[in-house]
This record gives sequence, C-alpha cells and structure tokens, in this order.
Amino acid sequence: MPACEDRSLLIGGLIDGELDAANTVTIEAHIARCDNCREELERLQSIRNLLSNEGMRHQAPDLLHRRIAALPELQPKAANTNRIPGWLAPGIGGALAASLALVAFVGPMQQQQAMDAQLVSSHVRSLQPGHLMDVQTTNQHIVKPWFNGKIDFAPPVPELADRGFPLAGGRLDSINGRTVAVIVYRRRLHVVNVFAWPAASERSRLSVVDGFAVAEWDDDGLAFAAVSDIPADELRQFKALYRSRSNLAPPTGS
Amino acid sequence: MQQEPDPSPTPEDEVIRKTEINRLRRAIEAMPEPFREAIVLRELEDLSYAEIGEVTGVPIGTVMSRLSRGRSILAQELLPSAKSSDEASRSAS
Repeated sequence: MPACEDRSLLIGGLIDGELDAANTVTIEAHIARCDNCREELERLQSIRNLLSNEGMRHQAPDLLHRRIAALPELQPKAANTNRIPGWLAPGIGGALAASLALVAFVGPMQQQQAMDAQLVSSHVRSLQPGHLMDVQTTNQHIVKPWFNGKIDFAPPVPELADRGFPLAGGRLDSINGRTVAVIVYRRRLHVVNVFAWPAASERSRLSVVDGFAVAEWDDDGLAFAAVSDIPADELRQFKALYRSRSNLAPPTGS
Repeated sequence: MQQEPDPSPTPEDEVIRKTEINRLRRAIEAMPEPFREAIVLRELEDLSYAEIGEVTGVPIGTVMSRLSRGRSILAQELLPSAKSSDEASRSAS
C-alpha cells in the first residue's frame, strides 16, 4: 500500500468532500508533506475521473434505485467543495479561484463566471448547519411579508409543493456586495436556493459550476438565479414552474 | 486557460470509448458485493456517506472503509501505473 495506512480513509473522505474542516486541514497538511499519500490522492482521483465517464452513469440496478427512492428525508448534503486541494488541481480550484479571478482581472466572461462562483459558494455556505434560513416555514404568506422592510423589492414566493418542490423558507444574503433575497425550496434530499435582486440584464441561461446547476433568468425587473445540486434538467423544470407560478400569483397588498 | 481542440469524434474514437466503458463495467461487476455496492452508490449515484449508510444499513465508518477498499481494487484493475509505483517504492526502501 503506497499511502500511510491510517490516512487512506481520510484521503477518501477528502476526495468525496465528506470531511469536516479540522480533518480537511489535517489531511491536506499531511498530503503536502507525504509523497505516498499525494500519489494515493492522485490515484483515487483518476479512478473517480474514470467512473465519471458519461457512459458509466445510470448503472445502479433497479432494486437499488427503489431502495434509494424509499429513503426517508435526510439532512441536505454537506458542502461538497474542497474535494481536491487547489495546489493539486488548479483547474478545479472552484469557487475560491473564481472569486480571486474577479479581483485579478475583470472581463465580461470572468464577471459572469465570478458571479456563478459567488452564487455557488453562497449556496454551499447556506448548507452549513444554521445557515440555510432566517425564516423557516412552508407557508408562502409568511415568507413573502418577512422580506418587507428588509429589502426594497418584493420577490415572488410561489407555492410549488404539489410539483415536488416544497417551500422551506427564506433568508437575506449578499452577492457582489449587494443584499439579495433568497427563497429556499427543497427537492427530495436536496436544497434549491433562489436568489433574487433588482436588475434588468435580460439573460436566461443554465450552466453547471463545480457540479452545481445554476439557472438564471429575469422577470419584471428582478434578476433570479436558482442554484442546486439536483440534475440540470430538474432545475430547468423548477425554473419553468417558478416563473409560471410567479406570474399567476395574485398581487399582494404591497 | 488551455485551448482545447474539439474535433468531432471519429468512429474509431467511439469504439475506443465503448471499449473503455466496457472495461470499467467489467471491473465493477467483478468486485465483491459490499465494495461494489458502496462504489456504485457513491460514484454513479452521487450519494453522500450518510445516505449510503442509510441505504446499506451500516455505520459511516464502514462506508468509508468499503469505499477505500473498493477504490483500491479498481485502481489495481484499471490503473497500469499502480504496479510500477509499488515496485519503485519497494526498491527505494
């Protein structure tokens, strides 16, 4: 075995983004010093890369699918960032690298990527315990008024539970130094964060950043960005639902 | 930024890709059950450790060791460099 015996489980955990901060720091420091463990990390990563091949997906047998589908509601996945230390894989540096890129050179493309990276990193941050919601309720008539007085715009909060996206709550967040409203929905075990802020950029796009799907659109002078780790197709479906239900929603008092 | 040429895949590329996928599938199918299950759930179904533990009914520590063992098996099967680096480390010691 090339890797240190007592470290191999931690290296696996690092690859899977399953370690807490303390263990991540410890194992990264060790890998920086230990050639064998660094080799092991690279080996594991190449195995992962092989298995992430498109043709390999959808291989789980039906029985397994049914057992997964029968799972009770679990906690949302822990943040899946930092799978690979930045110094090992500059190409997969992720949100942090992209945020730095914003400081270093700001072109239109970089701005867009930096924006996506900020949205994703905010999404990831929101999944940490206690960060997801300022107001926690499944009632749209509580979430919507809650934003009043905190922000100077009124994002729509459509009810989507009947389509598999129950409302979970809302919070305020900061993107690009601007206060934004975030409406939180759930999808099975996953979280969908919808960021909303006043802007008229007339864009509509769907991208995948670090494995997270990001859907962006504009409606009535507000810019929206939905971020989640659900498949891109499902997020596209969510976007369509959210937009159609927003437009149908009766105007509220304000 | 690296510039990546993007030629459309030739029939030859397609054959190579399929061969590669078959090799991966065979390697996974040949794995002993608990390791294969863990690998499939993690790598192909993207479940977290907690979710794998829930599905398979074992503690997270067991999930971690099964994944670790499973990946070692796959590495041995699929990565040709594994053997030579073993030999290199042996001759160095």
